[in-house]
Amino acid sequence: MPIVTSKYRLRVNPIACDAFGYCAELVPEIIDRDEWGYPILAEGPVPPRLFELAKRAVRECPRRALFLEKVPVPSP
Amino acid sequence: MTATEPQVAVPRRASASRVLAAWHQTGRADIESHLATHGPLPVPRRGDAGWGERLVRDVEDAGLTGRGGAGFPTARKLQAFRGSHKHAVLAVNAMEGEPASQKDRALLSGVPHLVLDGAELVATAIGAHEIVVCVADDRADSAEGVHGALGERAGAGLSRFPARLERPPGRYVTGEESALVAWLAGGPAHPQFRTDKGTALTIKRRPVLVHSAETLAHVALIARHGPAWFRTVGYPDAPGTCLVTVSGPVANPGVCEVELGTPVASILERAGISAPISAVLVGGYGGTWLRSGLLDTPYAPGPLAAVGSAVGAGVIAAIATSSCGVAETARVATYMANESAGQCGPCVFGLHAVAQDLVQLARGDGDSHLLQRLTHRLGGVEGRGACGHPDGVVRLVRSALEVFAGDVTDHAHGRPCAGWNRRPILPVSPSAAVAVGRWH
Amino acid sequence: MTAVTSSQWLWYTTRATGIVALILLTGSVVLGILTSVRLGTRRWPRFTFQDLHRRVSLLAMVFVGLHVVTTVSDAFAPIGWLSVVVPFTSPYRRFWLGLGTISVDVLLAVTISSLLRQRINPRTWRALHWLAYASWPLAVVHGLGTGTDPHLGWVMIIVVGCVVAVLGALGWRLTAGWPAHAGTRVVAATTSIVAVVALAAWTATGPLRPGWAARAGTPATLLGASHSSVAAPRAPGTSAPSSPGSSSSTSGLPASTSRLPAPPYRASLVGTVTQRSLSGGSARLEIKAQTSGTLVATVDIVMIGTPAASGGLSLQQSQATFGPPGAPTQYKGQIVGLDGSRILLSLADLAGVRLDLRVDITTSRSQVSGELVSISGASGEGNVSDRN
Repeated sequence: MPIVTSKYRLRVNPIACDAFGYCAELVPEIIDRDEWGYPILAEGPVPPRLFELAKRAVRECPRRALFLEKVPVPSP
Repeated sequence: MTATEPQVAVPRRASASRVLAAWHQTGRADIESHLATHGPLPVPRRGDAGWGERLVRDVEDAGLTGRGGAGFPTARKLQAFRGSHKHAVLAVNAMEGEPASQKDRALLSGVPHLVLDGAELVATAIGAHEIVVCVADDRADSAEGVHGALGERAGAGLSRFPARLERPPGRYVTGEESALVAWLAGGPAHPQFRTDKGTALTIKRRPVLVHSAETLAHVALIARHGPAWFRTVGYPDAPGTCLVTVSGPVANPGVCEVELGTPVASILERAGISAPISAVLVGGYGGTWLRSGLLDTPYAPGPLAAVGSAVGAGVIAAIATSSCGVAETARVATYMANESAGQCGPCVFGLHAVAQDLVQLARGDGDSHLLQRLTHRLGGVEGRGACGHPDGVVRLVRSALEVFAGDVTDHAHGRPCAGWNRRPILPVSPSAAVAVGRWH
Repeated sequence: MTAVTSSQWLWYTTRATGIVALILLTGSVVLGILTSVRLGTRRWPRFTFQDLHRRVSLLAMVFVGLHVVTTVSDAFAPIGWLSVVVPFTSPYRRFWLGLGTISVDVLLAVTISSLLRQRINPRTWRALHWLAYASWPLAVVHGLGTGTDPHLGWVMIIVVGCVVAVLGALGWRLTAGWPAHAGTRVVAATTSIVAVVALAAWTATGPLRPGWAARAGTPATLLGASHSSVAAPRAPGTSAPSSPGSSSSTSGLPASTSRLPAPPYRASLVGTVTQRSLSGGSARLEIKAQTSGTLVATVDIVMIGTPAASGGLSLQQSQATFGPPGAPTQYKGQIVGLDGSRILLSLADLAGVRLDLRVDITTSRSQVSGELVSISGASGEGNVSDRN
């Protein structure tokens, strides 16, 4: 089992997003939808156990609006 | 277009006279007056390779921050753009999307040559090969001023760069950097999504640096007089002067130049307060309300931030106690919702819903859950657009709920104050104005 | 008892995979539309429809691929690899096959761009994917125009079902989110309805009418062997729906390298004759001969009888077969006339199509040579086959 060394967080391009909602269906633990169907992403890095699902959600997005981004490591 | 359009009054007796000096002293915008007031433009000599770096260092030492609204340190922006950028473009942002601001209009019709001087200096320093001055398509005065000045410079053999005037559509968000560049690149003037705000904007792979007109005017003065001179007035960490647009119940509304750090109350007093003021909208329509008790706050980034406000686009729009802050905010929110570029769901739907809630509140029509719903929605809209537009509205509305708290409670209980149906003070489009109530 | 050759399997597979591909393509289109109307339930979240759409589309492409490969490999109809991607280059039903080619081109573009979706410009992907809407009607018309089975009830039911499914899904798509883009939607709806009506009218007057194979551009050499009644030329697999007795195309000519050309026949014969005695004093005489020249066929005549004093045979039983090398027993029958060196044969194939032959042979030891001529009943006399 590879060790996830980098932390990633989910982000959405709000211009591309068209509220299909696949992401919220696939990873409801960290993606919710607002009253108009647009995604509300939880803050912080994606929990390791949900990482594969998060990648799938990124792949499935019909508008390619969802993406994973390396969480900037805060400088000490 | 605007319900009440302040005349571009630029009183010639002024508190500070740097950027507007030529206008104050001569009342004319032509090149002779400009050169008579400021002297020649200090252009680099041939082969002076370090000139650009010295200019950037001077700007840094002077502590100049962007006057377009973001307040970013200008030198840092210049430094990031230096290096041999072949075919870079310098865009002068004089779009003035804020309806309550007239300073770009004052600059371009009163002292266009100072702005163009600054543009040339910056273009030289960053290695740009082209200057594009952007004036909204509904601002005829500014356009004429630029056009005339460009013609004069060409005639006097002073243009060292190809410089042209462009007229992008005049909407609230079209002055946003990425929207402006998108339009210059040939598309609609929609703000762009950038994963990393640091990546350079480009037009067909040519990098574009965008600076506001006022910032460039200050650069032109720093190049002539040096950073030490720049710092002789101003506020600690906020040196120099800036342009503000004063409106509301004052005898002399209009654009004036003030030293940073002047208390807001003094700025208003100099404009001649004509009625008791309940609050002042500071920054712009994406700014915040300042209650009357805090008008002693020095007008500078630090002190304003301490009270939850910011300099923004230099708007100082007061409303009298006879006006209704809730109604004014509702109209502005409606206007801002209509000015959304329509690209992001949370902005389009969220701002519309927030505006509707506010209109109901202003009319006293709201249900018992209105405030709760409004607060929840504000939290939902914030940070979920591609640009800062929705965030500005959230900021404005939250400050209104706080500053006009008493009125808000009355309105929420169906007792709107007397002023809600009055003529709007803050300029908005007619459709936004009537959303709340008729005005006579 | 026609031998089912490997080439016949290719023929069956082409038609079968074509039908299955159409069904799967229909499924793909319908599922694609369901994703665009954002259909989703608790049990079937929206992403499942997108997933299904992708899987069904890939499966459809597998069957399209099989359909294409079996068509080209089947050497009976002259369809080469070029015709797979370049439309209107096949001598076989050029136009209708060409429509299928265009459909394949579009499907290839859509499939490849979708497999590379994450890497290409989203706008490019969307534009190509909209083209998919065009590939489906092309496939339907291709199937009706090129296909040889529209007259079959169950095939037509399938095609109608596919059209209804897509129309239904389209209807949903056009009404969901109404009245946005009202103009475009009305145009799309009207176009679809007009297209379906036109399709039905064309199908009824075209592929379902006898003689379609010829009108559709089937090369003459492939049109029917015997039984080439003007009303119903038989192309491989087509049959004449108006003739009561004719069964379906399964009894058709084998899709082999050798087929009987259309009669009349006249060819030289060369072969062998063998004779042996049977129990009870009878003798069995067998003539096996091959024609030469333009007609490539074998004829096998078996006579059983009592040897006559004059050296001939008093015929009691007979059996004869005639056919191309790939199906030597295509025609079966018996001797109906025996006169010295002249043998008259009356044969029929599995469909009951009659063929009468006159064989004149001379024998030399165990070699025979002679001539074979077909007589009457073969061309233009419209004798309808007997149903046995």
